[in-house]
Amino acid sequence: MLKITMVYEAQLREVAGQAEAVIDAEGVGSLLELLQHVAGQNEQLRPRLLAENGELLPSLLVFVNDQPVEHSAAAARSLADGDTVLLLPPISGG
Amino acid sequence: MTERRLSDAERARYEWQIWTPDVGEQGQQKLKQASVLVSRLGGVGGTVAYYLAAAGIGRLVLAHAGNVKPSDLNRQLLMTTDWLGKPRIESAERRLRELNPHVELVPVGENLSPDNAAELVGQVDIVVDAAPLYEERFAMNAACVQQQKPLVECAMYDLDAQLTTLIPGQTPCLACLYPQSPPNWKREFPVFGAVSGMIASMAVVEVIKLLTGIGEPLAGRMQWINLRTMAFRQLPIARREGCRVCG
Ligand SMILES: [Zn+2]
Repeated sequence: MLKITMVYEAQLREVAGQAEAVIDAEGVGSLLELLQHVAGQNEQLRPRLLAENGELLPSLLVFVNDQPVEHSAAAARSLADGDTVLLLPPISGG
Repeated sequence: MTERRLSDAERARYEWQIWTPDVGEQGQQKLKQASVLVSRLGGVGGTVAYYLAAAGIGRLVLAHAGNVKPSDLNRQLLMTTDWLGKPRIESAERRLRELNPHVELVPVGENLSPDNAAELVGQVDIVVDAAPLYEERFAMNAACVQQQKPLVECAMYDLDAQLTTLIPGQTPCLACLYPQSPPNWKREFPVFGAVSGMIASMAVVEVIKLLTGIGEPLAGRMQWINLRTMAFRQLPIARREGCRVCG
């Protein structure tokens, strides 16, 4: 079993239509694959998670269980049942 | 050079904060001797400037272009209805002078850019980033890294807000966190003035801590606040290897 809690903040919450989602990630091998899986299920989320080459969007901050994951490590970062993936999109002043 | 000693009028004005045990009159003198740059005086930056002036920071360098628009008024507390259509920087200067005539103001009627960033950052001890555009934020970040000056970063969206204090050589820089501008960036977004005011107030506390040496700055950590749920998350942030600015 591989249940992952996704936490979406700011614009991502708006586009995802929810603040949190528990997803069944059975068969998903890495953090990068997880985000590719999520992007595959929501076309509007895709450009806010992934760059055109399928890698993580450079301006997205990704945390697993509140620890930051550097983008270059996302393809090698495995996940465990019960992990929480927090996604913080870029925001600004104004 | 400003007089370091506090006048009787200043002592009376700052009495309640001087009572903070580890601030005292000495801490207040440090604030008086300090200078801070605030880039943009919008919902965040305007409130930052207001509280910095209230706290008695000696000199404020304030950068903001453009004229006051109706849509500024839900959050930009330095802008007033009677100033609609007139320069924002003038409205801001007037309001700050009304609040505290002891503070020296250096109003700059343009936004921070790669052309003026080094010069503006060079005038101050600390910078507060309250700007909406990444080009502007990256220019500020590069100048701060180059000149080894702390940059207090604040941002907001909807009922969310974010804060971190970037200290060159110690913490990530802005380009470590965001190596590129986000694609299709929109400079306008949903927000209440109460949200910008909250994160602005916290940013000013960071400046006061850095200048007086009290407490612990939010360095190497990012505070993310979701006011919909009142969840306050504090997250570690790390330098990016090979960062184009601080690497
Ligand atoms: Zn950096």
